[in-house]
Amino acid sequence: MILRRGQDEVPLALRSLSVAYRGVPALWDISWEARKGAMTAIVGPNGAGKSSLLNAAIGALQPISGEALFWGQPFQHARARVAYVPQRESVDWDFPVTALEVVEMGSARQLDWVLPRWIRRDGAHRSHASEARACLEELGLGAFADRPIGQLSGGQQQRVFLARALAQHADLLLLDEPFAGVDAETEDALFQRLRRLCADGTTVIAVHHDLASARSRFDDAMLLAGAVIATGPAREALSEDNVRRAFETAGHASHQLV
Amino acid sequence: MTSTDGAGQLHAWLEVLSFGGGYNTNVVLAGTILLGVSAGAVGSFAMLKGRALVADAISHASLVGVALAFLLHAAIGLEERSMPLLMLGASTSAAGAVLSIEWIAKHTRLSAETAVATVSSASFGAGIVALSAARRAGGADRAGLDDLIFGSTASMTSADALLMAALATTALGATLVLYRVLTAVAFNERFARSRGLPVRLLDATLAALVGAVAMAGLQAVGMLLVAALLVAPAATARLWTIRVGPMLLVAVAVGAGAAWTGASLSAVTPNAPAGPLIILSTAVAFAVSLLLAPERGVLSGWLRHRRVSAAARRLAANRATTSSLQRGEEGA
Repeated sequence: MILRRGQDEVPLALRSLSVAYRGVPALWDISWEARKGAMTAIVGPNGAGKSSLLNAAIGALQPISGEALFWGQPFQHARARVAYVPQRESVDWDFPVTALEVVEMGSARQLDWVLPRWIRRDGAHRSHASEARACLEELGLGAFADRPIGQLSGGQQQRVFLARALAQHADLLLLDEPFAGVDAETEDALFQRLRRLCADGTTVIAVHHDLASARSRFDDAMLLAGAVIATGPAREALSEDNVRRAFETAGHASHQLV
Repeated sequence: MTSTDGAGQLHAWLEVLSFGGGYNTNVVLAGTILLGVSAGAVGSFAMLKGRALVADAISHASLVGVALAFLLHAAIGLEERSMPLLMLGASTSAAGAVLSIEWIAKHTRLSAETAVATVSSASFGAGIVALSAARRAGGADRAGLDDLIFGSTASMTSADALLMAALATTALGATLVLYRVLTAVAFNERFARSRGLPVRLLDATLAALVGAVAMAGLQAVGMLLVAALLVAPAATARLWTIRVGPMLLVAVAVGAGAAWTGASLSAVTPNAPAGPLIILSTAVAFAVSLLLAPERGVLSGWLRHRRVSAAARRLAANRATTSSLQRGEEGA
């Protein structure tokens, strides 16, 4: 790259990031920069470290070396601008909250979060509630706002998580398998919504499992297999050759572990 | 027993229930109700966090601390048992148990459930060993120890009731103020962390509250049963409610109601200790709810299943008649 962009313009920069679980490396020396306003798919075989990459970026996993910088800053100083959507299976969906309450967890600012409603009298919670409701409606879940989350289908639960991310009004979305369990029609609508966000300058990075839609729907891709196999425009990074190489690398890695 | 005796006993019970049983009885009643209130509130979040049985580990571990505190009594030649020293011992060892559980859950592949079970049973073993040592040392007053293991409302003083009032107010106040953040952490810890919530601090606060209720409960229901007081009201409330706020209120009501019922029954029944009666009351509340709760109850589930099956059978029967009619027409 000839022009060195200002670091405060780069939504996410990984610098020699390595992550290990109990001494077994999961990610090895990852260096990469996200493009502002682009949709990037993180693709790779099982165990390639896709989720670990997101978790290390937001500090949920301690890297053994390297760092993740958001607009040139560590995550602690940038978290207000970042929305993280975990895998759907990572939470207990029989939890006694409604869809609206889950989304409100995204819309509330720091103080509103901590203070319960009955302490605040300025009506801030009402604006959060209406904002959360709007986010749900935008994803076609308006009628489900007051349902307990356990009564929703897998695809609807996934959309509740996305609505929560929308409610955060973030400049960067980190999504872990956001389309798992979502039907084709809904996936279409969600992609269109994400596209509109990108047009407004939001950056989207999503762990994605489907190669075909990763090639056709995303701008960029990072192909992972413990280490970076390829990055760049989605179609080129996810070429047949590269994907074969990724699976071979992952195969070798798992043989080495055994 | 004649019917007049029964009526008399019922009358006596109602009198105690309505705080007409004299000063000492009222102190016990008030103290245990406050304990039930705080156990309901704190137990709800412990359950939502998937740490309901941590209370069990805490109470077992506090046995170790209490026994060691007794040994210390003997060593430094204290005659009277000193409650602060016992509490210090109990809370230190309880904190050790909680820290071990969290460490095991975080640093091994074992599930949190396994970690809790391991630490809980290990603590119980250590507690019994320490207890026999304390008894051999002789300095320990035996009745005092048994009171803490099995609970003894009879020996509850107004100072104990005041301590429980303070603990209950703290626990209820803390859960009411923190309920949104505690809910968020319990539902989706990683997300809460990504939003910058002090997850560790909140975990520690919840563990401290569970510990405080367990300590307060030692006197009333004893360390063997105090975990049930934390779990049963929350589990009962979960059957009736689909949101955290209402669940909290129902759990508090069940905890208070069970304590009220159990302690007053114990006051009018000779040789019936309050602790087990309180726990039995929570168990009855749970069993009734399990059967009758709408949506999540066994009965409503069974009725739903019957309705749906009947509808499906009707549909199948209709289809069979229609197709046989059609075959008849084709044949003609």
